[in-house]
Amino acid sequence: MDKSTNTAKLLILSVSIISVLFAVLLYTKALPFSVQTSSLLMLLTLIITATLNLAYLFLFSKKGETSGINEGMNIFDSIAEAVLVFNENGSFEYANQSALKILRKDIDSVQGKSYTEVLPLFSDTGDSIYIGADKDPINKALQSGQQQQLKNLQLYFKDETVYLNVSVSPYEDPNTHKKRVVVLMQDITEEQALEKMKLDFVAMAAHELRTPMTSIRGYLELLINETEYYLQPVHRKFLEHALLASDRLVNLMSNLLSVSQIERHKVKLNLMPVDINDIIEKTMTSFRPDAKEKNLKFAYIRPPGDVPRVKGDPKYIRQIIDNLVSNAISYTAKGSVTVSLHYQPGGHQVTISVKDTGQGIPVEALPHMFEKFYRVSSLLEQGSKGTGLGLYIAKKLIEMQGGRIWVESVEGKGTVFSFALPTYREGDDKKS
Amino acid sequence: MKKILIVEDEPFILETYSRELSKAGYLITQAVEGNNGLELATTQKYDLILLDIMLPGTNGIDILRAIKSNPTTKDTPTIMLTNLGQESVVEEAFRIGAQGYILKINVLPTQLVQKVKNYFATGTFESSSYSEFES
Repeated sequence: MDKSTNTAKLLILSVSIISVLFAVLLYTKALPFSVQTSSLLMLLTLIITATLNLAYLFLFSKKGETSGINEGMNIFDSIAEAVLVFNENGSFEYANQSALKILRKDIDSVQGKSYTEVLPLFSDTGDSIYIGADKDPINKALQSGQQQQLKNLQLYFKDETVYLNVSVSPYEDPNTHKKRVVVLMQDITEEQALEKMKLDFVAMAAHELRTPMTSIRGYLELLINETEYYLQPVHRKFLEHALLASDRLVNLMSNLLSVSQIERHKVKLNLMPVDINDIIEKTMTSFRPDAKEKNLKFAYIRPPGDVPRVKGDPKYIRQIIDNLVSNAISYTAKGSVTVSLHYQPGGHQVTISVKDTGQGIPVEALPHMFEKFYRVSSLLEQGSKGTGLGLYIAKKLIEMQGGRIWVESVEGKGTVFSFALPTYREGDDKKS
Repeated sequence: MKKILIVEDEPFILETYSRELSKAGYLITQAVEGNNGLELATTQKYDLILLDIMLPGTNGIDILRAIKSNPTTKDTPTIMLTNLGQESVVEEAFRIGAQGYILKINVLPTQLVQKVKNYFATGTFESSSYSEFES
C-alpha cells in the first residue's frame, strides 16, 4: 500500500516539475513556439498539473478512508500484545502480528469471519464467553459501549491451553459514527504455569515440614507414655512441654499455609445455606472437656425462635467458631465462656458471640487484634497454641463470605468476639 | 487377633504407629514401598489397611483403586494416611471407596489406636475433619 502511494506521489511530483520547467522554458521563449502556441501550451501544462494534483489528493483521501484502519497500524505489529478490530457486525477487520501468532491463524483464514470464529475464547470454568447475549463481551461493547476487562480466559489447542487477559473496548469513529470493537489480548500462560508451580511448591513445602514433625510428635507421645516408671516426673513434664510446643508449631504451619492461600486468592469458598446452630452445637461438644478441665462454666445461649440459615462455607465457619472458642478457653483462668446466637426477626444477618471472663484486652491492643502475627503478651500464653494468625485468617474468611467480625473488651473483666454473616436467600447458591 | 497392614514409607512414622498398634494387640504387617504394599494388599487378607498416599513406586490412590476393584479385597476397610491436606485428594479417595482418612500431623499414635479400636467396635471410622484441610 505504501509502495503504490509512494510511486504515485513520485510520478505526480515528477510530472509537476516537468510541467513547471516546460512553462518556464515557454515563458523565457527558450522554445521555438509562437506566442499563441506558447500560451496554449502553458495553459495545457497548468491544467494537466492541476488535474494530476487533484487526482492525487482525491486518491490519497479515498485510500485514507479505507486504509485509515491499516495506515499507521503497522506500529501494532511491533508489540507483544494482540490487537484485533471487529466492525459493527462483529466481523473481522484487523489483527496485528501478535494476534495472528497467538491465535495460530493466518490472515486469510480470518478475513471477514465473525468474532466467535476468530476468537474462540473460554472462561476458566470451561464455558464459551459468548454464551448469552448479555454476557458476550463483544456484543456488550457494540450494544452498550461497555469496556470490559476479562481475566484468565482460555484458548484451547491440541498441545496446550493458552491463558489470556483480554480487554474489549468499543470505538466509534468521530466522523462516520461507525462502531467498532477493539480487542487487546495479553498472553499470561507463563504466569499461570508459574502460579501452578508456586501452589505445588507451597503444598509440597507444607507436606515436607509435616513429615518430620509427625515423627517428632509420635516419639514424644510414646516417650511420655512408656517412661512412667523410668523418668522423674519433672523430666516427663519436659516431654509434655515439648509436645505442647510442637502443637503450636503444627498450628503455625497450618496457619501459614492458610494465609498464603488467602493472599494469593486461592481459597475456594463453597457458599451454601448453613445451619449455624448445628455448627455451634458441634463446637460445644468438642470443647466441653477442655472447659471442664479448667473448671469453666461453658454455655450456649440461643434465641427462642427460629434462626434462619446463613450463607457461607460450613467448613470455614466451623473453623472460625472453633478458633474463637479455643482462644476464649485458653485465655480464661476462671469464670465462664459463653457462646450466643443472635438474630433480629426480619433482619438480614445472624450474629455469633463468644464471651469470656478472662483478663480482657488492653485498649491499645484492640485495634490490632486482627492483624497478622499480633499477639497480646500475657502470662496465660504459656503453653497456648496461639500463632497470632488465627484472627487475621478468621477476619479474611468472614469478609470473603460477606460478613463482619469485631471485638469488645474490658481489661480485668473479659472479652467478647463477635461475627455476623448474611442470611441465606433463595437463589444464593454459588461457588466462589 | 486382628490383622492390620500399614503401607507407609516414612520409617519413623511407620515405627511410631506400628508400635502403638502392636501394643494394643493387633498383628502388624509393614510395607515401606508402593509396589510391595500393592502386592500385599491385593494378595493377603487383612482386617484393616492403613494406606499412605505419597509413596515411592505405586502411589496410595492407585493402590486403593486396586484394592477396591479386586473382588477378593474390595471389602477390606482401608484408611488413607496423609500429610497433604488437600480436599480434592480426600474426595477422590472416598469416591474410590476408602473408609476413612487421617491427617497424620494431627493424629498421635495413641489417637490412631483409639480410632482403630472404635472402628472395630462400631464399624465407623472417625476421619480427620475437613476443617483441618486447606482447600
